[in-house]
Amino acid sequence: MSTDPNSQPSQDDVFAASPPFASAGDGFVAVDAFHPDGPQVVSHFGGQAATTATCLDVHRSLGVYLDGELGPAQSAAVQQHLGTCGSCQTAQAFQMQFRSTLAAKALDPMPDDVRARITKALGFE
Amino acid sequence: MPLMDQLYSAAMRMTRNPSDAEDLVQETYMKAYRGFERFQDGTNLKAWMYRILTNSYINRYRQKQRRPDESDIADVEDMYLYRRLGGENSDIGSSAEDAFLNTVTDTTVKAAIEALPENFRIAVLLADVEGFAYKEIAEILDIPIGTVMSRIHRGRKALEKHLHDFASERNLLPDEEIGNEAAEGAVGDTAGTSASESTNDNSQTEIAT
Repeated sequence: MSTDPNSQPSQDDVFAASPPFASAGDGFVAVDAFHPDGPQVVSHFGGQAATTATCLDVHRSLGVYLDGELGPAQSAAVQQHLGTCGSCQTAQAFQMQFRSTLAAKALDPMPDDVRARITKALGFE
Repeated sequence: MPLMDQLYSAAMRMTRNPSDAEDLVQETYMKAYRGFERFQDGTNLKAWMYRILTNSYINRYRQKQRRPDESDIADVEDMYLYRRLGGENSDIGSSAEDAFLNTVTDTTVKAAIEALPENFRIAVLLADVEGFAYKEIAEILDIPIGTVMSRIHRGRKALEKHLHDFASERNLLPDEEIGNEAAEGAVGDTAGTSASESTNDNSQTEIAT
């Protein structure tokens, strides 16, 4: 995989470089989601420091936490904080609702005429 | 055929117009069928299809642009929308936020997503609308996972600001919010962008700072 964040594979790479698409959760990327500059990869070998979470930490890391991408130590810290902080619980509930709103309101089902044209073009009709 | 509605939705958000979205989805299926022999059983079909879609989009539309989209976005505070809706003020409570999310229209949500610069838009789409994990997004876009995380994190915050600004312009915010941000709303109103105007000119989608 390229390390240049701006590089994009050429058209011909689409199949040649088809990655295995491993499931999420394998590998050992450790994330510091409490970092003041936003979530950072701190290590590709795991082992982030255990920590406790403040309201600020929770605000910073809520997105990564809700994505299920926070490492075990910070995830536990966020969970513990949420268990005792009403205002962060409200914020969490809002963010969850915000996401379901996004997912529900950004959809464009394919119109029937478009579906018919594409199916025909592909020779399935 | 699998995934047609989902891919079409994603193509609409990427290209911002129905005609280009149709072409893009058709191209994606053509390539997928042509390359299907190389698709390995047991791997993630959905992610593979989105990789083809995304690469096709980038190859097809980057060429049309005057310059590659490497635009950056303004830094927006964490939980921007929640704070602006009074979420931290327990007197206002959750009713204002709930009301906003319930009443915000599809058009506004789509316009807010489409106003994000391309790199951020695609990352947020794949995460929040399509539900891919960071690792899958890294593979779809062929970028490091740290870059994925950063684009999602910053893209989401910018999206919250767009949503707030667009809703403010249309007087869709709860009463106490209307007008507060009007002077700050430096984002162009792309909701009125018709299909014919969607020229992939990213200058119109960048957040003015």
